[in-house]
Amino acid sequence: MVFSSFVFLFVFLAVHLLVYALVPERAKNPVLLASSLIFYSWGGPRFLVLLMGETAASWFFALMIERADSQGRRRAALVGECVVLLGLLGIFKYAGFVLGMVQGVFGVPAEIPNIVLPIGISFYTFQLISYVCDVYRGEVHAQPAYWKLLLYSSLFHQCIAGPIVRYKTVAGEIEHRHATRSEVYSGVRRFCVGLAKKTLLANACAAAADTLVPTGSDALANQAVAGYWLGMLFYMLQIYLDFSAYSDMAIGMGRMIGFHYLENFDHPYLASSVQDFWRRWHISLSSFFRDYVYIPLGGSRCAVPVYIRNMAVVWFLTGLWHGASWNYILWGMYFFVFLLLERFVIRGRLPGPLGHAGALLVVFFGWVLFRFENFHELATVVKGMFGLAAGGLGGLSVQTVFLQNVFLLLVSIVACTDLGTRLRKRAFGLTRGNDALLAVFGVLEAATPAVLLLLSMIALAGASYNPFIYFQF
Amino acid sequence: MRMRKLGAYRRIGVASAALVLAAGAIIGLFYFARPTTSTVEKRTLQPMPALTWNSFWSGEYFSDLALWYSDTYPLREQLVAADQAMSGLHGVKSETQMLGGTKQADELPPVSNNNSGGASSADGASDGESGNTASDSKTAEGGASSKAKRERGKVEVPAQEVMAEAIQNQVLDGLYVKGDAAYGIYYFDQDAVQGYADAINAAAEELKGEATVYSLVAPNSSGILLSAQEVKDLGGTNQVDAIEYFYSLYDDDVHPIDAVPKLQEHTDEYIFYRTDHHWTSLGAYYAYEAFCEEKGIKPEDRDDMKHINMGDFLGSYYAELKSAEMAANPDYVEAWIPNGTNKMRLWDQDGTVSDDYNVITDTSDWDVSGKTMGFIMGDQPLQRIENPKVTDGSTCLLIKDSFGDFFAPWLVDHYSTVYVGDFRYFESNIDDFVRENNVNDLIFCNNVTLAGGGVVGPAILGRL
Repeated sequence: MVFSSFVFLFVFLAVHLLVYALVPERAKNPVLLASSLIFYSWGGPRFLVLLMGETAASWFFALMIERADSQGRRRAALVGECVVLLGLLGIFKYAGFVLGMVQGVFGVPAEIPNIVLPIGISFYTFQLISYVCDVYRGEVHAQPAYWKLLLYSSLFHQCIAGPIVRYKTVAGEIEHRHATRSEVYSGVRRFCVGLAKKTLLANACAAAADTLVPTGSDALANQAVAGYWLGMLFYMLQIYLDFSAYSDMAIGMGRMIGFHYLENFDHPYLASSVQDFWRRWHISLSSFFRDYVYIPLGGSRCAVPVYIRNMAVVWFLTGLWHGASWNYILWGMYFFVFLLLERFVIRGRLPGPLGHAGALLVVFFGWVLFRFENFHELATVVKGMFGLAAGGLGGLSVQTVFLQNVFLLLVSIVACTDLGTRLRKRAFGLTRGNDALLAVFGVLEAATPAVLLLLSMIALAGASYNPFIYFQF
Repeated sequence: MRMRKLGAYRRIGVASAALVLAAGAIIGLFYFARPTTSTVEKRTLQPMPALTWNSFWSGEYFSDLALWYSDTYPLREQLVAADQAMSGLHGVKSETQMLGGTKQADELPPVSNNNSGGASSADGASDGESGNTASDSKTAEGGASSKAKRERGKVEVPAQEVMAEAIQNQVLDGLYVKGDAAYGIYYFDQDAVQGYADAINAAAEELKGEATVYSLVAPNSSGILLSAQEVKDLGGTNQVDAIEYFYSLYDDDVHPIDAVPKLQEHTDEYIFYRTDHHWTSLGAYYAYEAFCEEKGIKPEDRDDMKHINMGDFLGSYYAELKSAEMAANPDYVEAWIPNGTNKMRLWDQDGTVSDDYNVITDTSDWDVSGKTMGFIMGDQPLQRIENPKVTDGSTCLLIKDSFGDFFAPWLVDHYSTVYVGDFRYFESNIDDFVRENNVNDLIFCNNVTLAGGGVVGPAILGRL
């Protein structure tokens, strides 16, 4: 079930919120768990067995770590956790990819099994690993109640598309939480903003991108130069608006009931460098790799060759996490190269605007690598962007798409900046001592969630195109 | 104080959002108000899925249920209309637009001299280099049809969904919009054209000596109303040349109907809709004139027939584009009722047979999007029109796509019986049907986009 769907909004969420609000305090967690399990089962109850099994394994290993009387046993439990969870992730997500490569080289196996990727496995696997690691490090106590750990791993706000919420972030709030009226409003507003971002902007950008740079279509080879650039610009906007919208909705739903998930994006397209981009993009994933891979390997406080190795490992894994295909690995290694360039060659010497433009350009071409799993298509687009494909420079069809979406393009670009947040703060500041302005501001505050919800409903009804890109991870 | 006042507004904000959510949930409960079909989209909406263990366990049941819930949501049509209006705010519309149009057309080969230009050349030499597999086997003489069939092997008729999807894509891909008119651009596909020609040739071979086979490849509006240069600039294929090429692939037994010159003579008349991909009844009339020339008969004078105007019409291009210019200046539907009869028997897709239908139904009171259904009630497995004024027993079978709906009424006055079958839904073997019903003329009528799209050829071949 996707958040941006009628059945989620008008059946699942409406019923869940009503029941959650009506039940007494002690029943809230069981209601939340039941809702989360129903939500997860929607994609196929068979996958629920896997989620519950992985949670049981993590629950067991965490308790083993906490109760172990020696460092060896603690370490064995941690290794056990990693073997089980990463093993399952490997089987479900990467087995086909690896077997495909083996088949390509050795000609066996004759047939590659078609393993269906369980929804959200990349997200909840990392959440559970982070939990057991944190128990191992003594940063958090093991959760003695299995069902509470299951509540953490299956929580429908973030289970299937992130952000990757650490157990220590919500451990206290699983036991006791409270949402003030202001937080409820802030949660509702954030959810509606996310929903609108997804339905009004991301989906429309996706449609434009798919028109101009379609995957799996011969039409890709016939695009004009301007079409490739414009199409990839729409894709660049789509992928941020889509993914950050999902995080907005997750954070918003959490805040409505007293959970405080950490931010997952910080206007990444305002980054001043590639490194800065990764401080702002998918923060929960970057911090996972930083805390559980990069730093344990030695981080940056080591000899240059070791540092380069550490970086290579982290960026290889970052790429691989995004999908079982070489283009994702290439995408990760592409950033690895630019991060090394920034550290050893550029060294922060680029002036602000140039650094920003450079970072945007690197990210832009990164999305070209990211979009096309098929290397033939990837080459077509890269060549086409520089006028080496079949199409001309421009054409009526590109002009049509541009003109038909010119306002969408501008609004989407603005939505990637912090302009809205700053304007809201500024407007709030102006209301000081001015009742009339306060009333206007108040009306806007009151109307925003409902209006965005209504507009999203309209867009959802009209859109048959509604994929969540990040579901594949 | 300021925060307290703001808090009051924010409580209203939460309540308003909750109200919208609750209203949406309550409306969703109105099961009786859920539509099952969409007039605007011309499709059956997602049905409520059946629960089985497999569909439950795999999650398919739930995804279908979610689709059913949103597809049949009581206010969906209104919400979709609102969304279309809202989408207009994404940008500006220029006078000329091109939607899609990144297809790469194959290069049109030079036309061979076999049947070229639509001239029925009984004495025309066969082009041995055409690569036409059917023509290769045409040395087989009459009576060898079962042998020809065996040699051809069994061809499967493409599944309905496959045909529907392919046709939808073909009709609406490469759409050139100029003010209040849209034009579907045609992209030549060598294999598909060859496949279509093979199928027509196979039909002619199969029925050699038993029925005369005619083929009408109908151009669409861009091929007739736009200049060749304009089409070329848009990356499309010249339809006049393409149709000539189609016909050049036919064997001598196939009689091509060369409608193009007739249509080109009347470009200042209302021969194609602007908001729809079809030709008008008048456009079909000029194609019918070409048919009469090919058959050697005199066409009926349409002034002798009863003419009706069914009023405003907004067709498939409008449904796709929702253009304000088109809405402000809609098409209109006119028709001429055959003199012989207007009665028609119809076999629908459910297998129901009824005599309560007309060749031309006055759809003046129908929705503006559905008025062309008035021509033989649209695409059906089979229609039969028996003309009491022609008593010689002459019979034709028209195998067609929707362009044939406009063409069929013109045939009525020339035959005792006219059978019409849509290539998608026709359930019999064509050759068996021709023999069993003593059909004299087998006429294929397909639009150039569909005929050259790779679906019609296998569908015909699979029914031989």
